Amino acid sequence: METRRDFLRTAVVAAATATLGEVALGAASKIPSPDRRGILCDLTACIGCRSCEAACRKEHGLSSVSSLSELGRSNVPERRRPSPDALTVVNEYKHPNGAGSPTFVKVQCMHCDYPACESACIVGAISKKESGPVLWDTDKCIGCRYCMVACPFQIPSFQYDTALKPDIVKCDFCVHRTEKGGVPACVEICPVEALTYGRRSALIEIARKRIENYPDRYRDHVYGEFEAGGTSYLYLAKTDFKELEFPSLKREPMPGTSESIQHGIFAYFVPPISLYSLLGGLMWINKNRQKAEEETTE
Amino acid sequence: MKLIEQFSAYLVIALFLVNLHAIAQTSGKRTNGCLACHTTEIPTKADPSLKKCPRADMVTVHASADTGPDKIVLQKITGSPDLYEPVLFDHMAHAKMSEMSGNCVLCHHYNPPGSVLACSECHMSETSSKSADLSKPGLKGAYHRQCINCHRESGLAATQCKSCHSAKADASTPSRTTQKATAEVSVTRPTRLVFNTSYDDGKVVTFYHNDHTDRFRLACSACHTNERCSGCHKPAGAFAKQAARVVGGHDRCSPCHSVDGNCSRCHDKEPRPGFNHLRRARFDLARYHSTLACARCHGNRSDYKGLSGDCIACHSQWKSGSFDHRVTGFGLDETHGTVDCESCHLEKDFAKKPTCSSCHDDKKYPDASPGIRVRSVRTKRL
Amino acid sequence: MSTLTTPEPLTKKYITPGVIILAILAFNGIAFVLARLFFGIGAVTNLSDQYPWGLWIGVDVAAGVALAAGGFTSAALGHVMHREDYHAIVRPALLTAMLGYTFVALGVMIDIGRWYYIWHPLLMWNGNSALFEVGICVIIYMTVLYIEFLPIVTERFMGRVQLKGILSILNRPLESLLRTLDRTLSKTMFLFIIAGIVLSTLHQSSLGTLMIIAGPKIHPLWQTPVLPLLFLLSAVAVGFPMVIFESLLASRSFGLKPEMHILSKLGTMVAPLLGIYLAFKLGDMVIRETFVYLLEPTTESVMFILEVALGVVLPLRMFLSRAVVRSPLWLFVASMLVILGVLLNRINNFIVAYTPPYATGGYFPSVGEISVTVGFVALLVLVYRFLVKVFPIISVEQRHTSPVTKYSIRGTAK
Repeated sequence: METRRDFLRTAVVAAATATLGEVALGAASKIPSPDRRGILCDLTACIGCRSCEAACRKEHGLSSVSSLSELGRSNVPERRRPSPDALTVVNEYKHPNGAGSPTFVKVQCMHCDYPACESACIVGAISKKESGPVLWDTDKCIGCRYCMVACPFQIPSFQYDTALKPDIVKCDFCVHRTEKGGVPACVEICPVEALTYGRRSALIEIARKRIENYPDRYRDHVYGEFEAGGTSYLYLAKTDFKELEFPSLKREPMPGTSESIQHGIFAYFVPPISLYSLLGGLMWINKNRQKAEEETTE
Repeated sequence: MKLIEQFSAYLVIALFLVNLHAIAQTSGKRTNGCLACHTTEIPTKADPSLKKCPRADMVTVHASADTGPDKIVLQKITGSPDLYEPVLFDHMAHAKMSEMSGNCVLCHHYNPPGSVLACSECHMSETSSKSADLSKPGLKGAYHRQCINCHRESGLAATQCKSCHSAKADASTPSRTTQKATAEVSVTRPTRLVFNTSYDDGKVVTFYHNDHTDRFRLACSACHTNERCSGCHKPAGAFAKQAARVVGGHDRCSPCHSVDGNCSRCHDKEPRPGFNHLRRARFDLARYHSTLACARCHGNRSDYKGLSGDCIACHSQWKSGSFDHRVTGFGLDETHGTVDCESCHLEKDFAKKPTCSSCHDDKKYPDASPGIRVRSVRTKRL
Repeated sequence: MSTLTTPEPLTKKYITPGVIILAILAFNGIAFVLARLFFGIGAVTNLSDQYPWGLWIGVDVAAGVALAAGGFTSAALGHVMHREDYHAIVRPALLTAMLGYTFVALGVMIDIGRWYYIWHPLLMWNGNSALFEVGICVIIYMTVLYIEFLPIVTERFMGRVQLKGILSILNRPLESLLRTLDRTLSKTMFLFIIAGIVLSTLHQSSLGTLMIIAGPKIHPLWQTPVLPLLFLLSAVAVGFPMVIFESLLASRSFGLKPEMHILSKLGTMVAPLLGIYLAFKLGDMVIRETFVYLLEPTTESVMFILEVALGVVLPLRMFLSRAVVRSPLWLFVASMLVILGVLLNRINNFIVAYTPPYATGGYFPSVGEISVTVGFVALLVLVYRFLVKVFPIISVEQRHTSPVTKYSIRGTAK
């Protein structure tokens, strides 16, 4: 008896593990291409000139302000975020003790390897491309803004003031340029080459090498290498990224838990169909019992 | 013949060992694999297959400012759109400044032994993202990083494009290719710095920067060897904040001043007045000696003690009769020219007013003159 | 068994002072809906890139779905458990669910930027998205609810189709259509009823999954992997209180005698359901050790305590008391507390707990948002009042003891 019960228990555990394994695979099964591109953003080099902002606006025809001189160098102290008018912004973070030079942080879509927005989108309007970018499809989007809820970096922006066909707006990695072998507009304009566009794996190597060669200049942390499962944008900085208001994220992809649950509930439609049959069975039994009762009372 | 061969062999070995030592010293903590410098695993003498760059930790540039170029016109990059004129870079001025800030390697990082490489030897005119090598910035990025980082730190208004560039189409800005930029650059130097130290019996050390630079005529690089640019180039008034901070402790002073033993030589309870030769040595430098370098009289000794106040101690040929009194701006008449110096300058104190009373009862110096005032005659010194 | 009551159209007059107030509120809401349609979401709401979801999603959609749970819980009780004594509440619950989901759909439509693309999820699928599942399930469930309602329509009009004038030639085909529908539905209704329950459990739980992907943006008091289960349990728990609440409200409004014999029995079932919900909620808090956050005096901790203490613990204690369950007034109060608790829970989950990483301010719904939400609720009540006057929904005590109509809920009974 004892052995039989043990056997049963083992079987149940094995079955459960197999199911869970399958479920977990659901989330992580889409492994991004090893050849995907990224951008390394070296914050120790950035001088906060905001040329990238100007170039981006010009490239995407976003606003009349297209030249650097019009933007000025007055970097704003408040937390500016990308908006429908600017897909990327540069924010200034004062040196902790006030004496040293400030650090400038370029903010834009991180182009996650496992994007929360892609997983969240109700109609699949957001997709991670093989070459790295996370792109938004205007033909599918219904404007529900769940991508904005899901994004851990608070990136997607919405045209709240457009009544008809408002867009979700975010950095598109300048795919129209990179498809033709070019580099994104912000990377091209950067006067100090704080931005480097290339294969993500190569960029990580370079970042690690820089940290090794200049331990005084860089903190030993490539932000985006592992955060939220990895991002296409990678950052190097001298200070702790927390001081620069980068969110502290775990290594697990953002969609992990929710996708596991979703796939668990819908694993080959087994749970819903089982529930359906169970309820059907109950209904049948109860009906028959009542009939029997009625017959006996009669 | 055999002797020469043997000798040269030894010489080669000796040189090799010296080099090895030099490399070991410069490479610091980390040791590089062969491939850090060579393109192959087994370099031969005929084909050392040396990489030009980068060579981390192998920076061995020790050139003097004078051996470098004077001015360089940066014109290797032609961007599109081509907005700006080439930039004139005053290499000499920067090379001289670099003596205070880690020398040539401040800019010429990653340099192999031997000649100093130009930026364009390693940095390509393409940006890194467009070239095969992502690891180092292109020439434009390299230039901008080198210039802007220091200029921004030191508050020199150089993050405006036009601080360095003149626009091609714009005639209103003067062309930077010919104009000297140094005019705008100012150096702020402090006069007095009062340091608060942790030494209980005398917390205050007063440092007269102007004495060291103006009176003692020390070159900036005599003390400043590893400064940041912003150490000297910063907005006026910035020193007031810094004064309370002790930089480097005794190391800053010890190359010139003895720091063993008598602490009260520097440490005090109150800020001290500046250096005064009269008070320290009872010898007034005024007028004639104030312009001299200390070593002129004291020689290259570390302690400047024990010079006699007698003129003759230095001016050995100044004896009565042979001394031309006109160098003082006052020519003696014939009668007084032969009188002993001590007759008028009592006790050989030449700083004091001369007296007439030792010979004349009724005469008094400026009313009755022993000669006539002349313009100072600079004959030979000493 | 109560064969003394049977559902029939109410005859009370429609316009009352309360109805006029509701109508004003409804028109006010509609005005803001028009403003949103013509000038964009930004013109009417306080929503921003920081706070993309606000009152409309938190209350109109999330709370709306939860409070329409009376439909599937009473269907489960009445049809699956086959307890005929509860049939009197099945129809009002069904109508509430149907109207509830209709207004959820309307709420979604005005909240999404491109309302005219509302059909996209039907064609463009993303199985990874919890919202997709919610959307699809809500669309199908709403269809099922309308199908479940059809027998009431056929019952009302069968044999009474008397169009006048030129339309009179349609009388015969309409009559036969109604009869065919009635016949088919009576045989297949059980399929839809079970489907409705399955769909409800799926999307009630998936509403909870929605906020899981927001990860650290959601306050740890609410952010837990068991959120879907908590949402399902709370929806199940709020189902009967919602039915009780409506029934008591409707009886009072229409001057009927409260059906305490049913409602009291329903009331006794609430306590265990609430207890299970509370056990999971507290258990989750203990396991994840999030109780430490309760000691911090933040909006979140206060709201959490309010939600659990007033919305779960207090009504749980009340429903355990026989006196409360037997008294219409106390039963009403206890039910309302559960409803408020679930409403607060949804508001907390979707609004209070949500803190964007780069917040420069907070979110509080605008006048426009509140007007639309209130307007929709008013409109729902008005439509409900209209429909119970047209269709046989609310059971009324029979003066004459005639046999029950052919189907008490068409299809399953008898």
